[in-house]
Amino acid sequence: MTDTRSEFEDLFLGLYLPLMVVVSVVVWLLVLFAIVRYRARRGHVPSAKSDAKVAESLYALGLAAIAGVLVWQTFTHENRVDRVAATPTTRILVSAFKWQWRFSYPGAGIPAIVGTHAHTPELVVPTGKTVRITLTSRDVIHALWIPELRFKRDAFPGRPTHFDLVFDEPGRFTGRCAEFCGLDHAEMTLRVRAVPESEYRAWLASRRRQ
Amino acid sequence: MARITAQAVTATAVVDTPRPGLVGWFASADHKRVGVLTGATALVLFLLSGTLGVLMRLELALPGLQLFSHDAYNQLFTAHGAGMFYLVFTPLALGLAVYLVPLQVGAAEIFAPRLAQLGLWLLLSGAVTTYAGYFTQEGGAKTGWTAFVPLTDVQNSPGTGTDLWAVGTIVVNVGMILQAFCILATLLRLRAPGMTMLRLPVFSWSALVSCLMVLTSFPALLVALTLLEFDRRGWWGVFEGGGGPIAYQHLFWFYGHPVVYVVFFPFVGAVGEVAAVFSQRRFFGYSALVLSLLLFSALSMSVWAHHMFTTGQVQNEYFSLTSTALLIPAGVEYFDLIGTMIGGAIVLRTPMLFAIGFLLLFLFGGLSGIIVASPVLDYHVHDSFFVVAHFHYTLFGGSVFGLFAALYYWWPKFTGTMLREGLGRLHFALWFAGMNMTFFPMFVLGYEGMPRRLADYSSSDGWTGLNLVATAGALVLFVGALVFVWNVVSSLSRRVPAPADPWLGHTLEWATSSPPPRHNFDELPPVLSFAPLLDLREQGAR
Amino acid sequence: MRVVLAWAALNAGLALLLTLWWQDTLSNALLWSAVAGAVLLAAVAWRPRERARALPESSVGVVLLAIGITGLGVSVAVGEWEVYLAALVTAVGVATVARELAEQRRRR
Repeated sequence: MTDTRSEFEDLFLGLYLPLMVVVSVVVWLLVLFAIVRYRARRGHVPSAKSDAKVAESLYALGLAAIAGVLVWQTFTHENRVDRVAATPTTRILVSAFKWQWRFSYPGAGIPAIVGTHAHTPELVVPTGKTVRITLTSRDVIHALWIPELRFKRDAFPGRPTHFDLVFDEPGRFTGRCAEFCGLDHAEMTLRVRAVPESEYRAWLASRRRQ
Repeated sequence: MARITAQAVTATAVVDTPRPGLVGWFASADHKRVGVLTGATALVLFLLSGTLGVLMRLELALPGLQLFSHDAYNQLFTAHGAGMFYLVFTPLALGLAVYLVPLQVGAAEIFAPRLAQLGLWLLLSGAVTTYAGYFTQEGGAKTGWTAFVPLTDVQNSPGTGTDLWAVGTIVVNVGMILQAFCILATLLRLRAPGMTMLRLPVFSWSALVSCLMVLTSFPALLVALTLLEFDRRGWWGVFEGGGGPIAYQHLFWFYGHPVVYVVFFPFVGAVGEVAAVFSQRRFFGYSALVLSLLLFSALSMSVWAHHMFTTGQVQNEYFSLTSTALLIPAGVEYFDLIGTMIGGAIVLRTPMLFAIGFLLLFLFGGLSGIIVASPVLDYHVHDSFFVVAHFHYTLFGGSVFGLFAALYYWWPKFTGTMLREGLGRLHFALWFAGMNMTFFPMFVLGYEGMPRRLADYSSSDGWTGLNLVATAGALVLFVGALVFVWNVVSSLSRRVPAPADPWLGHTLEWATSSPPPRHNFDELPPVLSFAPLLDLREQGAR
Repeated sequence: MRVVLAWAALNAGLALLLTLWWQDTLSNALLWSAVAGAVLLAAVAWRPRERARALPESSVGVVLLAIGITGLGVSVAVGEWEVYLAALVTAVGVATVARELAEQRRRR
């Protein structure tokens, strides 16, 4: 199952961030060392050496190797994040419009949930299951971002896009529109509520009765 | 070694009688005047666009302030971003090269001076046109500098503000293409005898690759905006239909990625010159730098769809590979810059302070760029304040600090006066501190879920504290800008005359008066390397 | 010229990699057109050393031309009769520049 958050954290906290911190510290130390040690002083003659071809070539190869590792790890993690399951458990259609969201659950026999300026819509999903989202826009480009899951996808008009999300734990999180879409782009918040499967089924049943 | 005689240099004679007065001054075709006017226009608009940024920060300091309505805020950030790219940094990068390249290669004038001058006037008239849009009834463009369709089509963005913005932007960029052409032709055809390509100064190399990028990528923007206008006029709905929005993005970003390198390379070239001169030695690793500039700029042409990872409609892997590969030439450039300092005899005058600031701050921009080059990571931070932090570290920490290293360094040559050193150091300190205060919190804000282009947020979001810090930083930046303005005003009024070579420079522009005469050089020293004046000085010392 | 061709070759390598990896029409068209553009730019370097150049002091024609071109763009987009005025200014600008160039050639 696609666990977007753990793939992100594995790659970011496990590889990219530590590498960035190490590089930052090394470069800052080198620069500060240079300023202190090689400040112009009486009698201090600057070096006449104007390159270090062997050292620099080896260094460039080292950089290429680092790039290679980053790319390899990115590709393997991305394959898992982008993968869509053959048979998702739940399908939800998310439709973005200026400036709110509409959620419908095809086949579940319940009315669509539509957000308004005054009422933030709530996307209810089961935990531990593959949720297939089909995302589209009714007007301009929007984007569905669920920061808790470390994932977003753009919503294009006329081009539905599909992706799978898995919610490990029950909880309530915020979703945002992440593509500037005009006047009230800042208001396009949504809520996500992940509940255990039994509670999810109960929720569906109660919506059918309404 | 015989100097090249005055006769040989001034074989190109001035044939015009100068037109008297203000008309002659403004309509000058002298590449130096054109460069100065281009740069001065861009600097004024930098202060304006920067102030818009400060206004944005005032709105976001606290949730729910509504100093500006959503509509007004959307126009603010559009004008801020569009202003910075189209009207400030591209003209500054090219204007600097229009002035310096003919001097650095030992030429008497730029290639086709009237074309370069036309570029300046298209910048001016185009800028007026884009700003005119903000005085129309529906207001100016409010779609972000990227102007995506369908947001910019006539249903979603009615009114002439967007049209004026689009036309003005097209006009400005035609002007920039013309200037880039003149610079490139100067580099390829007008070099002084003895100046082979591998004796071009570091700044000239950076200008060369910038112009190659301008000439091969800016046309895509012209096509995108022209087709947008056709769409808005109803003449050709090329962006209608399911494939329209993504097609626009390909066209836009094919320009939109190289432009960020166009507004970067000339300033890193300047930092290279400053690092060498103020370390009192030859630039270290010259041939590696040349190779890395060529590779860096070629790669930059093939990475554009990394701005589109979250669309799900592009081949993420190819663009992730090319984008991550950028770390190779970038790392080589850092090796060379730091290698120039290590073993040097460093003099910490203001240009060098800004060069060092560049090294320390651009680093975070570059590293965060490698982060967003990974689609898995980009899926989270794209279109958030993390990305805003990333590109401000590259654009402010990189381009702006590099620009001011260039300005403080070449100011004596441009104006014949010296800028004040004490105010320069104060300016540097305020901006170094202010930059980090403003933009570092944004890495965290984006990571925590704050989208960009947000006209407001709410107190329950939990973003207030960091936003307040960022706004305080922006005010520090504003004060620093005022210090620079004060420095300029007081220097121009005190007029401490600048010698031809106040810094013991290495390159040919320092072998003539400050400012240079109309024909640039009375005589030229022999050119045996990329640092001819340093060679001469070392020879004299022996 | 070799430098520009070398740059074109680097771009060609990246374009080839793209074509092999992803056959999207627009993306390939964009990148290969940049390759073609770079090859054309190499031609800019082709002519050998320049002969004596004239240094024009100023050009009012250029200023008029810029205003005219911008006016044309604006009026085509949002105006009506303004197109004619802008076309006139543009024509005057072109004529002025042509006259300046002719005078310059004459005086050489």
